[in-house]
Order: sequence, then structure tokens, then C-alpha cells
Amino acid sequence: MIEQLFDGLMLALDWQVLLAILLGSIGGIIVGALPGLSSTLGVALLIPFTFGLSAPVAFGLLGGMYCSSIYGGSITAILINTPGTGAAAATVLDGYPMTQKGQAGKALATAIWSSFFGGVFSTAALLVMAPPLSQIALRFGPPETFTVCLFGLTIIASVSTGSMLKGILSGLIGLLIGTVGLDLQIGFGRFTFARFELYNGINLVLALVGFFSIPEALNMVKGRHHVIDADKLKVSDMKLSRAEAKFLFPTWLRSSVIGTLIGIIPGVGTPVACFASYNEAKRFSKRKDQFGTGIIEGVAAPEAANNAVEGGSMIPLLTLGIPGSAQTAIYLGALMIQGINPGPSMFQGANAPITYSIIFGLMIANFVMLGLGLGGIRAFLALIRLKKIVMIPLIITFAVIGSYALNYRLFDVQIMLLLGLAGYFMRKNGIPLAPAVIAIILGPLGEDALLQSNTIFRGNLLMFFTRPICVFFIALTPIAIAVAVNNHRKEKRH
Amino acid sequence: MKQTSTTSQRGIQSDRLLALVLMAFSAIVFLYARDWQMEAGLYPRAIAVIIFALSSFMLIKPKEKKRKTPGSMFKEAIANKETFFVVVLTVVFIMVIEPVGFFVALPVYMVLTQLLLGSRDWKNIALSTVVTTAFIYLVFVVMLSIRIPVAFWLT
Amino acid sequence: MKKLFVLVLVLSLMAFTPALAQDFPARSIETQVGYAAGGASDIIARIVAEYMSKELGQPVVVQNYAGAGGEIAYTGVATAKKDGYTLGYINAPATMSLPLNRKVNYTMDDFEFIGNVIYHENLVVVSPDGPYKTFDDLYKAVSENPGTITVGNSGAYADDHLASLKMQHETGLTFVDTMFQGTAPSLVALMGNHIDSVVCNVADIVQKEKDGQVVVLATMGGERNPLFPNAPTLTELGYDVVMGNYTTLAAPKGTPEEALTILRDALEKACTSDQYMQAAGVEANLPIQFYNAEDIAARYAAANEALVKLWADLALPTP
Repeated sequence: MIEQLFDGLMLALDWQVLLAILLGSIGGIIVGALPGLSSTLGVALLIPFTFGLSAPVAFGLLGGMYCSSIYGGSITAILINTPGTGAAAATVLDGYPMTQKGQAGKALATAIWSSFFGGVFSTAALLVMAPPLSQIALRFGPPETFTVCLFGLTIIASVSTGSMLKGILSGLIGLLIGTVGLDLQIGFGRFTFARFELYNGINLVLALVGFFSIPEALNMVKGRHHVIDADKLKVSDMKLSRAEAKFLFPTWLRSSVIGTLIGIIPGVGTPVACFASYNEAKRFSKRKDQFGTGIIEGVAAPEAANNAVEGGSMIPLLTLGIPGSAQTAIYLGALMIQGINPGPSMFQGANAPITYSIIFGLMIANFVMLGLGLGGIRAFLALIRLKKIVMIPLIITFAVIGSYALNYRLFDVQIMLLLGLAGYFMRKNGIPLAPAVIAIILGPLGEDALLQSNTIFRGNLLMFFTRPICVFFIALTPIAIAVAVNNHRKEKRH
Repeated sequence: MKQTSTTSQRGIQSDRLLALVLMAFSAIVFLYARDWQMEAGLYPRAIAVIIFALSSFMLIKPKEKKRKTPGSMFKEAIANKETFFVVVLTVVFIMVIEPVGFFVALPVYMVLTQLLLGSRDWKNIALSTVVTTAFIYLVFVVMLSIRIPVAFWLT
Repeated sequence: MKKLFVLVLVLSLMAFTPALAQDFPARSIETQVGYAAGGASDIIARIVAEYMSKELGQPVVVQNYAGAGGEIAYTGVATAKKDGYTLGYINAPATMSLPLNRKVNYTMDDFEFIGNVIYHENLVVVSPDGPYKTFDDLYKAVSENPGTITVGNSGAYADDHLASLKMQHETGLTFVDTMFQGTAPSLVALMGNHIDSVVCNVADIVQKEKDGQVVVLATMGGERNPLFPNAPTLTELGYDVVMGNYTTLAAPKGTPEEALTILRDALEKACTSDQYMQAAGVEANLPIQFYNAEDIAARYAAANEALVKLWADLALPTP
């Protein structure tokens, strides 16, 4: 195996591969940063280019895009309170307050180092522990998936800044949005109004773009004459100090584990990972009440987790042929175009070096991302100088094109705008948007899993308690809710 | 920062108004889904019921004290008129993408929106419009060959 | 002055818009695929696109409009502009079964066939860790315990589900049909031993079978599949079950004849070329099977008849 690893590394260190990684990464940062263009879209758009390329080069390109686009979303999240991708939705919580405090440079530095840590951690896990970790993916049948979603929905309670009642309402609205589409058992159209474009449900990307870009852009209209004083930023504010890195290490580790595990579970993805790790970082922090005011852990946790999803999602992909995230679902197509059939055979014989070259490519992409991210901080900061009057139509424009480019449908753009207006209405009334997004992801996943479990158990739902993983999450759920309620009570007393 | 209005004690607290909107919304959802078969219908109806219940709770025990009368809402709407116009412009933009073509609609949208928001900085307007349009064209049309609606008179 | 400025700006930017078309094809052609990127339908579309572009001299692009059992793409093709630049892949039985089940915005008459690219039969697979080593084992288990053995499929009334229903109808067995959003999740559940069996297609499990992750118990083709020499066909075992999936390139009805002829020609040339057969059949391991427009039209007519009969026999829900 060592020779195979070495061969794989050598394949990945070819200049063409490195160039592909660089190009993919640059594209990735741009796609990630632009609100309206999602990282899934970025990976999908590169697929046609992989046709004529060799496997290491093709996956260098894709790896660069995947890796950097997840990081790129944090740039706009931090600087203009608008996440460039769904993965950065939690980064705004502390990222933008840091910018408002004049610490944008530090926030950006935190984001890049955290993303780097998460990406390298999960890619290393992929390299070293792929086969045993892949067994986790298999253990998650429909019953386990349901209980995970149930537990995942409790994140809503903790992510509800402000009134928990409104947070729950947001979650319920998200669940309702998630019901749009054909139901699983009989193909009955719910809320589809006979528009087949809705049969597959409301695309998550449309919800992300609609909820996070449009309300922010519209909000800017009122406050557009207020400019953040960019001259307040000092050079030292653009770095992460050794001491801070040491302080962040436990957060990084915890968030990377969370991200990797979420990546391994098919269907969940980066938006949930970023909120889950933010939640956990807050839970274990000694200064939990400062979360949301602009502290580095609040940026480090989601950023490490979302990049950790990368490596995690590749584990079931390469070992079992099951994608762990939306982006890796596209990877699957790229693999097949290359004539590579994912599965155990990838790690055997002549296939192994190529497989390892793909993994090393992803690893190298993290380093390239680090370089670009660090080197670009000064350039990114210039974004703040952009006049809000220009940003408003700019954000909306990219929201439009990003929604259109998914399926070449103006209908999607209309849905996105509708959601955007709903999101704006919700924001104006103090209803947080993050719970709705979590519910849009976990709702449909959970409902399908429940229906399948019901079928498998032949109606006897007590059988949930015969499965250890299910019991674990079922037990955690009320505990998590109780803790969240308790925390809310404490916050109110302050 | 609580705002208690002494001059307009009438009117509904903004949370109460929100509650009423949500209750109406959930009622409509419930009624729309009332005929759906058990499996498919139970879930959305249950959600609608919970939303209704929570909203009615909010109606009875609202948190904020900001009051909204038709008068104050009207005043807010005037202040919000710019936001409203941006929304209108955006809707029109999306509507005309297909008829007039994306690359006509886009520059017009960018210019008009900035003008509407009060900018007279022509350098900024021109620069942002040209750069954005060129960027989108180069990346999406040239590099990625994505089909973007073209003006109908050109096809 | 400002108005003039805006006007000039707008007009100069209009120069960016692509030019008017003259010959067919004068610009890129879109082929719509009703399934997500990475699936067999998607891969074959991309390979076909590559070889067709060589024949046509214009790029052929694949667009995924996944969901609704393929309906989004089918409707997309049926209602597309009839200029020959928008094509798409339809399937039998999927495209035919949807109108039988629900109200759709197309009929089978809305399509002009260009050519068929894939045919593969449905089959029954189980996990190697399970108790079933042959179809007889499964048969015994299900007949002794009706309504307790689960069989996964890719969605309500999708071709896998229909194949499963037909199989149950002909064998008299009662499985518990478990719906998933696509074949991939159903196979995951099978490999994790959460469900007992799955009905899917050849392309879905070729590699997995090689890797020993699934075992093919029986196929639903006309004859044994050389890839699975030990798996009998249901016909062999005495059951009248032949179920398979066609993937066919089509254009909206009303597309000009000249364009159709060019497209049909290009597809045929592409699909009969050695490089294509190597790339798609050998390297990508896909069950390629080319039928030209006439041939496939006849097959679809026959398949449609059989499906309507099946629907009536099983008393499946109609709109």
C-alpha cells in the first residue's frame, strides 16, 4: 500500500494537476464568494471540462473548486453579511459582527485557517481511515437517518437568536416549504399547483440564495449611506496569532470531527454542518453569551466544519459509490466519465494510485486554498469599500443568474425571489431564517426516512428502540431541547 | 429599546399583526390540504395546526410593544418605498429577461437601480454595469456555454 | 445627455448577444436528461453528446433536469421549441407510465424519436450477507411469509417499482415495496442490510456485483445476461416477466424534417462508431443498444400496449 500511496502522490504532483488545482481554486473562491452562485453549481459547471482530461487533472480541477468554493462563501458572509454559499450561513453570525467591530481582517484570517484545518483533517481521515469509516455510512439506514434528522432539528432551538417561539415558527415554515413536491409513497403532488418544475420540491439552493441574499440586499437599501470605516483596520488585524490558533485548536478539532461525520452521512451536507458545529462550539465554550457579538470561535467553528464535510463526503463516495453531499453527487458523474467505478475496487491493484492521486489532489487543493485565502485578504477587504448602492443590484443580479444557471429556468428565479421576499418579511418581523433553512434540508430527508422506516418496521414504530444508533439520537433529542430551552431562559434573565 | 406610543394607543402590536398573518397563512394551508390522502396530507396539516397554535399564543402574549396603526404602517411604507421600488425593478427585470434578452435587461437594471437609489456617480454606475455584464458574459456564455435568453428579435 | 449615455451603453452591450442562426446546427444543441448527474442516464447522455458533436460540428450539451421520475425532462422536451436545438432523453416505461398515473403536460405523441441508446433489463438483487443465495430461496421465504420481505425501488411507479409489481403479479408473491428517491439510496439500504432486496437495472449494479457487494438472483430479460451467468431469467423460471428500460433520444414533435434527418444520422453514426462503443460499452460499462428511429418507434408502441395492459391488470391508480 505504501508504494501505491507514493505513486498516487507522484501523480498528483504533476504540473498539469497543480495548474488544474490552481485554476479550480481561483474559480472556487469566486464562485463561493459571489452570493447567488452555489458551490454545487460550481462543481457541476466544471464537469464538461473533465471530459478530455486524465483523472488526476480532472479531479484536481474539481477538488480545487469544491474546496475553495466552500471557503469562498465566508468572504462575503464576513464582509457584507451575505453568505456566498449555504455553507457560510453560520459564518455571518459572528463574522459580520467582527467586521462591524473593525476586525474584518482577523475574521478573514480565522476563516481561512479554520477552513484549511477542516479540509486537511477530513482529507487525512479519508486517506487513512476510509474503509472503516465507510461502514458508518452503511450503518445509517432509514431509521438512523430519521433519528439523526430529528436530533438535527433541535439545532433550530439553539440557533434561534431571540425569541424561541419565532425560531420554532421559522423551522415550521421551513418544514412546510420542504413538503412541496411529490410525496414519496404515491407520487402525490403537494403544493405543486400542477407545475412540474415543483415536483422535485423547492431546490435548497434557491432557498439559500433567496433567504440569505435577497433580504440582505433589500435591507441595505435603508442603510446604504452608512459606510464601514475601512481605515480602522491595521495590518496586525489581518493575521491569526499563534496564541489565537492555540486557543482555537479544540474548536477546530471538534468542528472538523462534526463536519467529517456529517459528510459521511449521505444527504445532510454543509449547511447543516456549519450550524451544528456552531451550536456545539457555543455549548462547550466558556464564553457562550458572547457568541453572536463577533468572537473568533464563532467563525472558526462553522468554517472548519464546512470544509471538513469535503473529505467526509468523499469517504462513502470512493468506498461505496454513495455521495455524501450534493457536490460529491456530481463527483460521481465525473468518476464515471473517467471510467472509474467507485467502490472497493478503487483501492485495489492498478486503480489504487489513481484513487490516491484524487485524494492527494484534494489535500493539495487545501494548501492552494490557504495560499490564495491568505494572500487575498487585502484584496478581499477592498470589498467593504464597495458602495452599498452598487452592491444591491449586484447581489440581486448574481442571485438571479445563480438561480437560473441551476436548471436554465426562469421559474427557478421567480421562486428564489418569492422566497427572498418571504425571507425579508420574516426578518422584518424578527423571525430568524436559519431554522427555516435547516428545516428545508432535514424535513424532507427525515420524512422520507420515517416513511421508509415505517415500511421496514411494518408499522411497528417501537422497533426504533431495537437499533442502538436510533436509541442514541432519540435519547439525545429531548436533552438537547431541554438544554436549549434552559439556555434561552438564562439569556433572557441577563 | 421599547417604543410605547402615547399618541396612538389604538392599533395592533406588530407581533400581534404577525400572529394574525401567520394564523391566516396556516389556515389557508390547512384548508388547501384538507382533502389530501392520509399519508401525504397528515404531515402538512399537522405543521399548519402547530403554526396556528403557536401564532395564537403569540397573539395572546406578544413580546414587543411596537404598535402599528394603519397610519404608522403607511408612514413606514413611505420610508420603505425605496425598498419597494427595488423589488418592483427586480420583478420587472426578471420578467423582461426572456423577451428582451438577458444582456439588455441586465445593464438597464443595474443602471436604473443605482439611479433610483440616488446615485449620480456615473463613473461607478458605468463601471459596475460594464464589469458585471462583461464578467457574466465571459464566464457564463463564453467559458461555460450556458444558454442565456437572447433578445427575441435576434433569433 | 444622461439618457443618451444610457442608450449608448445599452446598445453597445447588445453587441454581446450571439448572432443569428443560418444552417442547422448553427449553435450548440441541448439534450435534457431527467436524472441527476452521475447516473447511467446522465453518463450515456454525456458520451453520446461528445460523439454527436463530432458528427454535427457543434457542441452538444447535457442538461440535468432531475426529478419527478423524469417528468421534468420529458415535459421539457415535449414543450420545447421545435427548432431542433432542444432534445432530450425519454425512457420506456417511465415516460409512458407517468400519463397513466397522473395528469401530465405531454402525451407520447409529442415526441419524435431520434434513436435509442440504452437498453437494460430489470433484475432482483440481494445483499451477500443475507440468507438468500438463489431466487428459489427468496421465493420460498416470501411465499411462506407474505408481506414481510422488503423490496426497494427507485420511486412510486418508476420502472423498478413497475417491474417489482409485475413480478409480484406473475409469481403471486407479496413483497413490501419500499420507496426511495432513486436507485442509489435503495442500494445503500440494501448493502447496509436495512432492506431485504432491491429491484433495479443492470447498469445500477454492474460494478457492485463485480465487487461482491450485491448478488443478482434473477433477471427480467428475454435471455440470460452474460454479465450474470448464474442468474436465471424469470421467464426461464416460468414467469411471464420481461421488464427493461429503454433510454431514447427524442425531439419535440413538429421539429423540421431536415433537422430530424441530420440528428438521426449523426446519432446513428456516433453510436455505431468503434470509439463510442469502446468508451460507452467497455470503459463506462454501460448497456448500450442502438435502435434507429423506426425500430424504436415500433418497440415503444409495443411497450406502451403492454404497459396499459399491466396497469389495468394490477388496477393501478389512474388520474
